[in-house]
Amino acid sequence: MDEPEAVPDLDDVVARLQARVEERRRSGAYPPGLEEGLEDHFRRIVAHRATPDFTGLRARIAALDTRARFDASAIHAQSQRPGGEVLHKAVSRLIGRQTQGVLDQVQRYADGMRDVLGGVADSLENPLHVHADLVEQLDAVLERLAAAERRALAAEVELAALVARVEQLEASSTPAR
Amino acid sequence: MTPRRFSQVLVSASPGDAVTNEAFALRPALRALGGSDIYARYYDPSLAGDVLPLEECGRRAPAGAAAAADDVLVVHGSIGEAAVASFLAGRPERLVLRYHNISPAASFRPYDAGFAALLDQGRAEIADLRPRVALTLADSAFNAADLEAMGYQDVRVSPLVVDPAGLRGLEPDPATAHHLATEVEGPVLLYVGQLLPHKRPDLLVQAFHVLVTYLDPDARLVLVGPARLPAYGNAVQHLVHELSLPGAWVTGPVSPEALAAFYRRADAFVTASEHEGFCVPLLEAMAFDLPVVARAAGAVPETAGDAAVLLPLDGGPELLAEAMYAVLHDDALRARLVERGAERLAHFAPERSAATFAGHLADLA
Amino acid sequence: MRLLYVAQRYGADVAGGAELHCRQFATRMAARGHEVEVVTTCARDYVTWANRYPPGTAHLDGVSVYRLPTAHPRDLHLFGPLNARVTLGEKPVALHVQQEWMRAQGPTVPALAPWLDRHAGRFDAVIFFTYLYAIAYDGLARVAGRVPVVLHPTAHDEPTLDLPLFDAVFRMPDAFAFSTEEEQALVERRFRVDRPSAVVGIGFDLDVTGDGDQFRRRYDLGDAPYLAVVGRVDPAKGSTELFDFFAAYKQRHPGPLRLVVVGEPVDPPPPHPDVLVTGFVDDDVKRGAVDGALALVQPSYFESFSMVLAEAWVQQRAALVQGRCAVLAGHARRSGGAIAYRGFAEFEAAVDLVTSDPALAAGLGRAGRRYVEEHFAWDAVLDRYEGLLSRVLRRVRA
Repeated sequence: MDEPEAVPDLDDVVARLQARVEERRRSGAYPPGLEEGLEDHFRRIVAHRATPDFTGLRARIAALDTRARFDASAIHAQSQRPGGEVLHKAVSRLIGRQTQGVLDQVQRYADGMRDVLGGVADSLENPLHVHADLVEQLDAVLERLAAAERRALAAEVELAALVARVEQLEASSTPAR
Repeated sequence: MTPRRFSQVLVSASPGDAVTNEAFALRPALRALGGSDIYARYYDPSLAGDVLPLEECGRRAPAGAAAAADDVLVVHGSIGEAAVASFLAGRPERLVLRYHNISPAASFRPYDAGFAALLDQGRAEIADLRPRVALTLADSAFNAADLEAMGYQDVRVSPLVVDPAGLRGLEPDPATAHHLATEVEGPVLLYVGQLLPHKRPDLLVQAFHVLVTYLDPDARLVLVGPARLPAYGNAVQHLVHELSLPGAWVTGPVSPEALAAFYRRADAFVTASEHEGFCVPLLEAMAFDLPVVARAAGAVPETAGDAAVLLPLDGGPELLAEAMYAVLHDDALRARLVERGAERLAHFAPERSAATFAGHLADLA
Repeated sequence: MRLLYVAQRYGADVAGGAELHCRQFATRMAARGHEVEVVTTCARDYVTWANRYPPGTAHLDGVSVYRLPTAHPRDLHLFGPLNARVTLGEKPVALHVQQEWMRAQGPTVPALAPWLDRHAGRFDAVIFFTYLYAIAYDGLARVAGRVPVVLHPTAHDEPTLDLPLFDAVFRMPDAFAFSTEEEQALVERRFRVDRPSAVVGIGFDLDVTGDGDQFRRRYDLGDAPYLAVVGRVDPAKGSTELFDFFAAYKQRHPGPLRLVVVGEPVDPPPPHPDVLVTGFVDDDVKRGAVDGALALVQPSYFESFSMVLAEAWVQQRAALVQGRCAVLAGHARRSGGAIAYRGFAEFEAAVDLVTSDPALAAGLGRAGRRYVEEHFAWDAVLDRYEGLLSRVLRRVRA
């Protein structure tokens, strides 16, 4: 494949675009630090808004499906006491319908809960599930802190320069002994 | 004497994928040279019959090992896969490496160390293959240089066999087309490609913010493509929301018919990618008469030639925004780029590229 | 005290509530013997900030005014969409985008920072009016901590108040001066700052009269009783609702009652035989309109004080006010001079009351007048104001 020749007019286009960017920066149309601000912001997103891993949660919710089946036969009629088993079975025949009724209610509840848990997991996994106001405020605080630290550092530097100057002046005005 | 077979081997085949498309585009030329089938370790069910499972490769050779040794496997290298590597290690056929570039692991590592390790493994497999390879064909000089860095010598460059006009001929998906016609107003910038770190869709979003805040509030940005790295994809979504950009739309993966609808609606194509082995969407955009803005990185200058605005890599969102504005509003520039685009497509006419490829194969003794 | 006021606009023909209040406070504090100066921009309108006044020093009613040019007019084509994105869009919005919004909103005054650096030290207090604009955003940061600073926020419950950008702004002043108790509650709830503050309010002249008869003659109203709506009449201020309510009322209660719209409405009412629109009139005519009315109607949902209401009370007129506006409901409750209505049924009942019971209407008017006399006579307001300023200076010097 041959090397594409640099065509003068397209190169001109790029140079023209670069000049326009410079002009906008100079005139203040673009605020200073625009590109750095954008870059820092994305870096913060990548660093701090990592999506947690929900596979474990999902697996446990799926396991509910296999476990949450309520069945009368799963209720043990065994007993340690002699004759106990016979008694339990007799009693369970008597109250069988109530037991089943309770089991039905519990089953319905469990099914409902499983749906709720699935729904909660869905919204947690949504990358936009973020405490918007907190994130905003924290970000803003961090940025202001950074700006304040930068100003403080600049002020320290200036102060040091001033102190040095004063010392210089004092030294030069003290008559030699 | 049975004609020599030229089988193609892919790691995975799926509809719309550039490597798969090239394999299909090459098949007629390879069949003219001898028998040819496409084998893949993984393939989309819709391709069953057209693409054969890897295990069947070589079973059709009626004669013995001697005939098999004369046969050729054209191995498409774009991603690592241990099963394919060990398959190749045991084959008697001669190997032609058709290299499409393996994505740079470094840019994946901050998001998914496992994925990055797979990419490293893929590079290692390609490097290990070198002693077995009889002919090396890269689809760009950039990819050739990548192989040379792995110790390959005499790497030939043979253009990717691609037919973007095919997409142009597709009936666009009606629902997508309708939505774009009625709900998306204003000039549309389109990006087609995966949402991966080295392709820098995050930079596109930042540039779009500069564009709509300072230059053209009515512009729209559509990012079409799958996000195979969820952590990075989510970060891009967060960026769109936190910059409050209602005009930016991340669509996710779409069907070829829907893609055709997006290309038709778009007013310009943009990419900020820093690493491309070829970049088929550049040619697709040109097939749809879209002016193109891209960055001078990887194989982009080779593919785009003089038919795109190529920005230097040291330019940031402001330069990209300026280019986006120009390519939407400077009519003379748009016309020039569209005209050049049509010429550029002719350069990559699939019959020509396939013939070039077959010509290289003919050099195999 | 030596006081510096910082305002985005200042001048005799600058229209606008906050700017007018600033001028009133500055002028009257000067009249009380304080040394008052103002630093402001050359802009006359707040939509574009275009420079209209000449830069430099001027004197207005005993106050020295320093005007600094704005760097560029606001780009409305860009600001509108950006404003919508930042104030109404998805939250959270990145801080740097909020800062870009503040820049785009303006006014950008390059000479302000050096001016404040040089001159702010001369004053006992620097007083800012309105939290919203770049002049406060930039100016507060420049003087806070070096000189005692007071802010009159003139805040409403609006989306901009929620921007984290303003958390910094509201932490810089040493004290706050509020127009109403509602504003104080709003700001304290939103920002949770612990600073000295006072509900200073706004002052009113009590010697105001209007000639209702002359107004009636001028507009050929005869003896018909009418309700007056005065001031900025636009849908955001509840005008559409009022026109609907009045039309419905007339349908249910045919009679001579009319509605007089004093001023130029942004969205004119649909034509109705009993609705009269005067268009723009001067203050004399306006006062005549209020004087001749049965009652003032103040239908607005968004008021930071409602000078129109207080002025009507000075003229001892009853008022019907929008009950869904916390500020208006608060005034009504505290004064006993207005009926607050929520929805048509209450509006209808309120109009019935004032039309059928003249003694009640008069009583409401008198109660309103007493309320203004007691709380918002200029002397009362300025006494409270001086009290606040003294407290701040004592605290800061301690």
